[in-house]
Amino acid sequence: MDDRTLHQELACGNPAAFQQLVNSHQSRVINTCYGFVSNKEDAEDIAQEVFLEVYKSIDSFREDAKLSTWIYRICVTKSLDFLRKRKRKKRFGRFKDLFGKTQDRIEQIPAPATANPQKHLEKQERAEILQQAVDSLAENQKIAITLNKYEGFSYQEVAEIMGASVSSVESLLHRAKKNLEKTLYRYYAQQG
Amino acid sequence: MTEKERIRQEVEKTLQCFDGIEKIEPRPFFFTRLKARINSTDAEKKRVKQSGWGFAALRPALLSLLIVLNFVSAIVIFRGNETRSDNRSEYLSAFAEEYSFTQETEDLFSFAN
Repeated sequence: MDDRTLHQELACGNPAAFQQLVNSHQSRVINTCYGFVSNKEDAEDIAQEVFLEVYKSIDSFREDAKLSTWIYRICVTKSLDFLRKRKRKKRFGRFKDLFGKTQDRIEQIPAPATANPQKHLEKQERAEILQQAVDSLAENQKIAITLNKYEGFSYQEVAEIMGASVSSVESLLHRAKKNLEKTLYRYYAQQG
Repeated sequence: MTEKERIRQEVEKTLQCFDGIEKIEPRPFFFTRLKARINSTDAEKKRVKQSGWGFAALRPALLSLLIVLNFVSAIVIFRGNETRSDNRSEYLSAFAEEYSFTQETEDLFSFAN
C-alpha cells in the first residue's frame, strides 16, 4: 500500500491498515526511542504512545512529508518529553533509572562468538561511556547523532524528521562528533 | 606510545561502539497491547462524553443565571448609591439649617480655597 492509500485507509479507521503500519514500523520506532532513553521497557512504552498519537492524530496529517517521517518526528518528540520528565524526577532524588540504564546498554552489546569475557566487558563499558557522552550533547546534536548513528537514518531522512536542511544536519553531526571526541578525551585523560 | 596517542586510541575505540550496537526486538504481542490501550482510551473518551453531556446542557443555563445575578447586583448597588446621595443631601441641608449656613457663607469658604 502506498503512503496516500495507507493514509486514506487510516483516516477511515481501517484496523488492518493500522496494524500494517504498526508492524512495519514498530521495530524501528522502538529502537529509535531506545536510542534516546536507554531502557527497554521505557522505549516500548514510548513507542506505544507514538502509535497511539498516530491513531488519534491521523486526521491532522497534511501529507506535506512522508507518513514515516511524521511518525519518527512524533517518536523524537515523545522521547525528548520523556527525557525531560525523567530529568525533573531525578532532581527530586530518583536514581534508579541510572542503574536501569546501565543494565540495558550492557544487554545491547551482543555476546561474542568466541568466549572472551574480558573483551566483552570492555565493550560493554565503552558503550555505557559513549551513551553518557551522547546524553551530554545539546538537544539538536543528540537527536541528529541518535537518528544517524544509532538508527542508521540517512542525512536526508534525518533532515526530513528534524525539519532541517541536509547541510544543517551535516553541520550538526560534525559538531556532535567533535563534542563527543572532546568529552571522551577529557574522560580518558582523567582516567590516566 | 605517548599519553596523547593512548587517549586518542581509547576515544576511537569508544566511538566505534556506534557500529556494534544490536537492535532490540519488540516484546511479543506489542500490537495486542497497543490495541488494548487504544480501546481503553476510546472507552474512556465515550464515558467522559456521556457523563459530560448533562453538564454541557447546563452550561448555557448557568451562564444566563450568572448574567442575571450580575444585573441584579448592579441595580441594587446603583440604587443604593442614589439613596445614599439623596440621604446625603438631606443631611447637608439639615446641617446647614442647624448652623445657619447661607449661600454667602458657602461662597466665603469657596473663596478661601
